[in-house]
Amino acid sequence: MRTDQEVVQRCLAGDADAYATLVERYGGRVYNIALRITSDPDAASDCAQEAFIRAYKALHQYDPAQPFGPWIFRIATNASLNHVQRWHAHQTPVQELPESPAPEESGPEASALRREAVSEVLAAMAELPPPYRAALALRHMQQLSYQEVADTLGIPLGTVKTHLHRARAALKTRLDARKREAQA
Amino acid sequence: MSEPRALFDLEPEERDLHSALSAVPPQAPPIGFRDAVMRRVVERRVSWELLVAALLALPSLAFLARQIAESGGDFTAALANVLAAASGDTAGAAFFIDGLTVLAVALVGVGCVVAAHALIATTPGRHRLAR
Repeated sequence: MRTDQEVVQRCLAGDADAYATLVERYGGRVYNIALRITSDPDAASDCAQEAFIRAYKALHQYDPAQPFGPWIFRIATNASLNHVQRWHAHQTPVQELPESPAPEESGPEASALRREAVSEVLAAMAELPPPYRAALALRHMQQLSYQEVADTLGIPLGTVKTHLHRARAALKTRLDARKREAQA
Repeated sequence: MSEPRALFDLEPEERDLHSALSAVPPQAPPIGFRDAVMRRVVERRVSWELLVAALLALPSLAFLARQIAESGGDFTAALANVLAAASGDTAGAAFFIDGLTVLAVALVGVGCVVAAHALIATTPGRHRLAR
């Protein structure tokens, strides 16, 4: 299997088809980052496509000494945040539910509760400001380190920690409010 | 880095939220996502190549058209000489052709090659894009 850097070299040498390997390798994660920021599957698909096209155009600027992942995630995050800024898509609640839930651990009832909890978290997350959503998606869904989140968002490490702290607090407040509404 | 991995710098106050958010299953991209991206990549390359082909060929074609309009008689005479030589009526054919005309013909040829390459790239079935 070729490394990302080898694939990039092939693309730069004129083999555009080699780029399909990178789209295949990172398409899922890029789409999911865009989905969590835009909260809209159609917009996420557009933003993810846009990110790959922008990355292809800028391949000559990519530094092969750095991993390809954070680079394409950064482009995808910027494309998604720009989209949200243009269209205010953050006001649209998340409607989709996971297509392939995690393996059932304690029967269908637990699975249903789990799905409900997941959709609650996603709905609460969709109400957060887009930069917080981006930070949460990168940190907790894409499992990036603080430094990688900072590199991806192009902001200082301290700002990432502040964003995440505030995002967690805001998310907790919203989840508590939803819980109280459900109990009332 | 194509697959998510466990966080090494998880802080205690993050654990609850991390377990909730990391439990969200990733969504698969829409069917045909890779095809759509690659189609746009190829289209971009094709449009660039067609532009280069046009830039090479169009000025040369215009120059050749002007040459024919201005010196059409010379071309006809040169062609007649060559045909006569080829059919064996005379021992040799004499004609004059200037360097710019040769260059223009060559540039049109290069433009055609670039355009043909771009069109071949768009031929369906060339790419293995099935998802």
